[in-house]
Amino acid sequence: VKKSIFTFCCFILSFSGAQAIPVKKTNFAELFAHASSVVGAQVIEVDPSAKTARVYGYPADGLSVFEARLRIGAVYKGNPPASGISVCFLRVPADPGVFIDLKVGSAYLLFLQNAEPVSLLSDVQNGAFQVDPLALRETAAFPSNRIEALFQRSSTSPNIEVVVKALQALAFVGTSNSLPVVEGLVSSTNDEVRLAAATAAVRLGDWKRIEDIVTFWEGRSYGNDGYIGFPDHNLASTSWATVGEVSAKEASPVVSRMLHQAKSTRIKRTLIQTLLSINDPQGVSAVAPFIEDADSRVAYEAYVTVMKLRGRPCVTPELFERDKAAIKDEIRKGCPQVK
Amino acid sequence: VKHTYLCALVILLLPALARSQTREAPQGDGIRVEIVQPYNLWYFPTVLPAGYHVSDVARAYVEPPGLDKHGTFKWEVVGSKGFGALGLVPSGERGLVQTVTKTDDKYVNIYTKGYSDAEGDVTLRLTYTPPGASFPARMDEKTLTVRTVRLVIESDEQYIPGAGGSWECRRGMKATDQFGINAIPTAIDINEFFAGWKSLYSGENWQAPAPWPLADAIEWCDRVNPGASSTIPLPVHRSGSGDSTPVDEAQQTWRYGSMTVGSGDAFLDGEVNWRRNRGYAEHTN
Repeated sequence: VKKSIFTFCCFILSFSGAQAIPVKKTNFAELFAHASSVVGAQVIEVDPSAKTARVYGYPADGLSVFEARLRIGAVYKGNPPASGISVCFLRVPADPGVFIDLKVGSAYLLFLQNAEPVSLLSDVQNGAFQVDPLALRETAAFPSNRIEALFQRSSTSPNIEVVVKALQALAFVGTSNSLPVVEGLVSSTNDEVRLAAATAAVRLGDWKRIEDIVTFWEGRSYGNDGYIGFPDHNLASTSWATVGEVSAKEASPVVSRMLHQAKSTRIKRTLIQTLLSINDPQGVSAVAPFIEDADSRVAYEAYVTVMKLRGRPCVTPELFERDKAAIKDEIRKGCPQVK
Repeated sequence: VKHTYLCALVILLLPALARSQTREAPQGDGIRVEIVQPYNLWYFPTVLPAGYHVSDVARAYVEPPGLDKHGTFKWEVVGSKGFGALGLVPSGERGLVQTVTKTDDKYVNIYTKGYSDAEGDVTLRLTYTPPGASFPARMDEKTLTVRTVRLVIESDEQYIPGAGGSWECRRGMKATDQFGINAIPTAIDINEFFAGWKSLYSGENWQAPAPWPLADAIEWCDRVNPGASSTIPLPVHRSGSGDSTPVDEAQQTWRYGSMTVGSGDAFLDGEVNWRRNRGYAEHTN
């Protein structure tokens, strides 16, 4: 009875007014490290009552196609008042916050803990990633060097969701070979594809695409600092993190220029973070004026960046607020760099 | 006794003297002292998240080898924050102290009691007096930063279209150290707690806010959504008539170190307020 009440409570809570959603960034290196086998699987039947899905599996040798049952970790019903439809999800045990929509015909790349070809499909231990079914058949073998090809091919899928997933994957497993594929989608008319493509391009080394990402977010801003985003929070957060993590010195002039044009707090903060990642002392002159910014977060982060670029320690936000005038004065005079 | 110490010291110094013929000769008497303290230290008022250290054993490394078993080791916590963030654990006594002096014992237990206001504002100082009267005392200092956890609003409000064309809001949040810039090194359990929940619309039956815990968090987003399509009042389209009519609001406190709602230590800056209007939800601070 207790278990039923708990399950019911969990069900009710899932539709309540507030919740914390984990922001996970797919780490393929970690997935590979923990997976002894990586296979592809295409869903041919889903049975919610038995919590199973029948799949065609494409094992590592790429020659045989086998059929197996995939045990579904969790079955949830969709929001009845909203749609009345029943949806099955594959729950990834190692990443409990991730639920993957299991639809007949959809295909996945599965990272598995066991190496036995058929039985391994009974448990997806490490992760799963949606791919294009045709691409799966064409690139059935999955040594790690073929995965990039699979996602390249998936990026041409007619299913927008699969294309976005492929671009997100290429951002992490792609090499410069994937840049032409990614660049071709930066001008897509679909917002999610465009943002995912620009993000992947920056991650693969084309830092000029920072400008596309910033322009994209400026175009979707609302009011003072709100953004109209996507249900997949990862897409948005990865794009910001990607810009913030750019460390190529050549990007410094573009980032400085965009920083001075930026009106949004969010964009200012991210570009200041980028200049810190670039770690070029020349960035001090671009960032220092923002210590005077009306937004206290921008001002403090600009202060921290200036201090770190000068190799000096910084104080907590509370002390910065308290001693702001003196700190600004000290920075204006120019602090000697600590060796 | 003094002569015994001196003899022992001469014997101990012989290998160092021999090495000095092939290496750069140490200055003066060749005695050198250094503080060894391996862990980065954190301060948490009540919890102890896995992977973090709130205490450590510092030790003195003394050259030449063997000398560390003899002499007087005076440990002090100094610096602008100093004893406000770090204390020493005296042997056989309760409470933390600022100074500990030990004889023939190179170890000292250290324990955090607050957090740094600025990077490097805590200094652990060791004054080592070699045995016998012939050698002067020497000192080493190690600069430390005691860290704690702050909640940082990572991204401004992001709106997602929801029921009835209304917008739910999501705000990216991140756990950092107290300086608000450096991400925490190891994920921690977090939870949100609601207080001051207030109904602002007569007769409303929107689902009351339900607090959630989250395991192993470094970054997360806080999602607040308006009512569903069958609630009173009905959610309305963003920018539609009555979209900014408030329905309810709550204060939210974020805590870490526990998956039990309302337990654990509160983040610095962990107080967040939000309100749900008919057309959109929003964080209000």
